Amino acid sequence: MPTYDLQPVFLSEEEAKLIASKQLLSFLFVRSKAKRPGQERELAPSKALFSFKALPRDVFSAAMVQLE
Amino acid sequence: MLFRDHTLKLDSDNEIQVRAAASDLLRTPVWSVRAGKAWDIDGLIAKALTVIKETTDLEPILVEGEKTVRLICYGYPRLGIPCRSQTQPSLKFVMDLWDLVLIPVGPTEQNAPPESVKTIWSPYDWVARPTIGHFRSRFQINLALLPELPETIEGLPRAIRTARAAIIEEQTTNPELTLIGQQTNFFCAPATAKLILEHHGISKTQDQIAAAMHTLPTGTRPEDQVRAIPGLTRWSFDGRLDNTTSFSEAKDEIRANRPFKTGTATHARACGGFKVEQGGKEWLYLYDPLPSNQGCIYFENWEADHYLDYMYVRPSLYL
Repeated sequence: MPTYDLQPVFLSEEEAKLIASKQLLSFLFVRSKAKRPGQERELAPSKALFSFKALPRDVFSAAMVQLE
Repeated sequence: MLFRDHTLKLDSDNEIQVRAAASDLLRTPVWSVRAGKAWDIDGLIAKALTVIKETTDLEPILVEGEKTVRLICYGYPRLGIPCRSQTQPSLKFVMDLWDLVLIPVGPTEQNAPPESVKTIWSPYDWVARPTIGHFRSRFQINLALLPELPETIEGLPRAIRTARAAIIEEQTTNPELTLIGQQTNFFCAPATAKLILEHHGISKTQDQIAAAMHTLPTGTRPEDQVRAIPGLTRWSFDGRLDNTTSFSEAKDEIRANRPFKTGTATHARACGGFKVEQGGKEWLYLYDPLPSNQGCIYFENWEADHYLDYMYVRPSLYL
C-alpha cells in the first residue's frame, strides 16, 4: 500500500514541538541539594546531560512561547 | 514525512534531541530522546551535496517548488539525500548523510510523486489497512499520556518532578556500557556484539567479530551472530536468538545486568537499559553504533520501532 494512500494526519511543526516539550519533562531531573558540601554524587552517563540546571536559559522563553 | 527532530543546544558540544512523529500513523508521538554530541546536520547536508555534485551525473531530487533538499529515512534510523542520474532519471539513489555512500533504491510504486523512492525499510511499511486503526488509536492513547507543561517558567521544576514521579521503573546495566561506533556502514552487528562483550570483560576487534559472524556487505544474519558468541568468548558465553521479542524480556535481561542485541529490519543496536512510565509507556535505552565511527545513545519508545529479534549473551551452561 503506497504511503501517500494512507492519508496520514500530519502534525504541524508547532504541535510536534509542544509534544516534544511535554515528553522531555519525564527525562529531565532536578537534583536535590546535597546534605553536606562535597556529598554530591556523580551522575551516571545516562542522566548526566538531562539535568534541568544544565539547560540554557533561553530554552525556557522558547517553551513559554509554546504555551501562549 | 516521518518525524521532526527538536533540538536544545546545551553547550558548544552537546544537545538534547527529541524526535517527534510527524503523523498520527506512527503509534507513538515521541520516537526517541537523545542527549549527547551535537550533530551539525546542515554541515552534513552540505558535504553530501558536494559529493553528489562531484559524481557529475547525479543530482539531488527536489520536491516541486522547494529550493532545499529533503532528508529521507531510507532504513530507520539511517538518513540520506535522495538523488537521481541526470542521464537516466529512473536510476535513483540515496546518499547516506554520514557515510557518504550511495545506496541504490528500487523503482517506485505506480503514479508515485517524483520525490518518492522505494526505501530499504520505512516505519510506514508497517501501516496497512488492517493495522491503520490500531496505530491511530495507540497514537491518541500515547498522546494523552504525555506529561503536562506548567503555566509559568517558575512551575518547571515542579512539573519535572511530577513527570519523574510517574516513572515506575528505570534501570541500566552496571556499569553503563561504553559506546562504540561501527567501523563500516555494514558493521552494525559486529559493533553491537563488541559493545556487549566489552561489558563482560572480553575484548575483540570488530574485524575479529565480523570474521566470526561471516559478516557481508549486506549485513550479518541473526543466526550467524548467535553462533559466533561461544567461539569469541572461549565458550564462556552463549548466544541465544529470540524471535518473539517483548519488553518484559528486555527488562529481565537488564535486571540481570546482561546487555543484549536488538535487531530490526535493517539494523542492530545494543540495549543497556529501560524505563517504564505510568500508563505503560515503555522505553529502551539503546547504544546505536551509527553513525559510523561515532555511534549515539538514546531512549527509544518501545512502540516506535519493530524489534524483530534479540540476541541474549549469557554465561555458558557448560562451564
